[in-house]
Amino acid sequence: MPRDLTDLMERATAFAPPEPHPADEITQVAVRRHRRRTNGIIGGACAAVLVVAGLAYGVTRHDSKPQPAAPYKHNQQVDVSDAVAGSVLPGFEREPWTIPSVQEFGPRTFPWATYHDVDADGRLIVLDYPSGEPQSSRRVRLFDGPGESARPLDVPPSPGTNSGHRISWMPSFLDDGHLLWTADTPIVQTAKEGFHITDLSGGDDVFVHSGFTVGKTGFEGTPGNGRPGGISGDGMWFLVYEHNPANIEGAAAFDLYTATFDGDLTEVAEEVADLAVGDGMVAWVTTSGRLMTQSATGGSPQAVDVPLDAGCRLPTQLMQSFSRMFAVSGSAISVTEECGKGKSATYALVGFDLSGRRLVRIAGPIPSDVSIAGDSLLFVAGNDGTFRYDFVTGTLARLGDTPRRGQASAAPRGAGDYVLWYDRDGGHVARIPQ
Amino acid sequence: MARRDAGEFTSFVLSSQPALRRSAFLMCGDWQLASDFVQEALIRVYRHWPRLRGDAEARSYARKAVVSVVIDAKRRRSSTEVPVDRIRDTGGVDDADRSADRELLTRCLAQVPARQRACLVLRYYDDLPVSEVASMLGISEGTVKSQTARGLETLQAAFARETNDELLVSGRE
Repeated sequence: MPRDLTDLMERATAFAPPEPHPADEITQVAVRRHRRRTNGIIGGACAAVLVVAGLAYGVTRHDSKPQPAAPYKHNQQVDVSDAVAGSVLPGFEREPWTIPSVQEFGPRTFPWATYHDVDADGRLIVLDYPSGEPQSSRRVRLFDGPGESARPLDVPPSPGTNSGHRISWMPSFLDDGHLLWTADTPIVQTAKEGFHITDLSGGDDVFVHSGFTVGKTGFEGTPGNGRPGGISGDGMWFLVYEHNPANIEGAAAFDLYTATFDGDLTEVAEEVADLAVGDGMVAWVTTSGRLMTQSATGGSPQAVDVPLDAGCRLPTQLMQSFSRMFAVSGSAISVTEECGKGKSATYALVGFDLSGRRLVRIAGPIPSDVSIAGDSLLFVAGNDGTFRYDFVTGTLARLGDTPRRGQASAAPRGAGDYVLWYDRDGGHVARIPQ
Repeated sequence: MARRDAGEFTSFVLSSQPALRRSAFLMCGDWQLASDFVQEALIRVYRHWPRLRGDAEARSYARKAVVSVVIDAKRRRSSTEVPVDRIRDTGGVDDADRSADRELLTRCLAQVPARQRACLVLRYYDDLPVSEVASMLGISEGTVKSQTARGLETLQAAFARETNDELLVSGRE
């Protein structure tokens, strides 16, 4: 006799064994877990006008594993010239995206990188200009997978203009199934400063006000907008320019602040040179070269001895921030060390765990756009291309070469098993099992 | 819900946990796993508690979190674990007919990919409209329809192999 699916489902669930997780126990676990919450973003976008300290602006987002899934290899020494091809990594699969990854506007305008962000489920945010004019309205589309139709995204209304440029919102994925929308140009009115968080359709819009005033000075707490910063859980972390230290050429000193989404503002540290937020951790370098970490959900700052080579140092802060040479996750930190001076200076990425034990030293050209995605370190090495180092296996892989001069490019982004990067041929998304 | 109130959250857990667990069971076929998944999902709800406006939104978010946790777990297992022939069912004492139905359904559902299975459960058990399923799974309405159709086809074929009979659906677009 034919059966009805709904009826069958109801019969199958009509009897359930006793619930092993009492409600109050779940609450306790949730409260504990929230205290060491892991969710990080560094704000950013592509076409930012540089303001305040004139720092770089880029969005990355990490998945939310609070601890390494497997023990990391320690004391590895690799050179970018020894990297294997990304395509030989176990399980490597290039996603068959056919949407154009680059939009050309003619010889006088840089092309536009349309692939904007990827999430841990392989969804892709695509931004382009349907009219073909870079001054026109930007289209924002989300694709659930290659071959899937575009999902329309409701874009929050523009907060106004800055120097004649109509400010628009740039989406990026949060690791909890939401989108973060940050302004592509600084919002000049402190009262309107903020960011949006929506669901994956752009709905359920929550605006978080992030304009603050300290003394007589108004400033923005929005991640991005020309400075390092980040969101973690329901809080934001950001730097406020303080002064230029007389003894450090090219550097600026900042005060580090954190604020809740409700607007409660707290000063965390002074004399800060650079900041990274990721995966529930906050890390900053002081102008005197000390590295400090703190859980994004609270606790006391911890000093970490940075395992640099003898005679090496952290580059000046301004250079770090412009190039995003500093990254943190819930399990690892990466800095760039500079050895020697002037034209003879050499550079290396140094990865270490939160207790300061060195994981890896990667020698090569000046790295930039460094981020940590799960158990992997993503970076661009000068003109040598985009690389991925796996903390678990100790394998350094080259994902692609450097985009041609003037070719659209974007910082590599990772989420879960997915990596998005640009090379000479355009944008690519691959799945690399971690 | 502007602030994290543990008492208020516990009340929410008490009221929402049984239904979430039943849906999770249909998606994973194991009561113990379903309980673990729901716990993980509710922890995610707590994380966003201040942003959730009202009970309905919290329930919707919780359901979405359950689906996400189940599918994520399935994806992780698929790359790291050896698959078993069928999904385990560790249900307790029950009458024989219902127990047989549960065994039959879990065997058949085990042959449906995780996301398609979620579509089937949300559409035919939780009785949610396509638009809500799309929002919950973070996919388009068209994809929900195609995934549901594919999942149903697989499920009906599995059911036919098991019983030499038909599995019908009714009352939904």
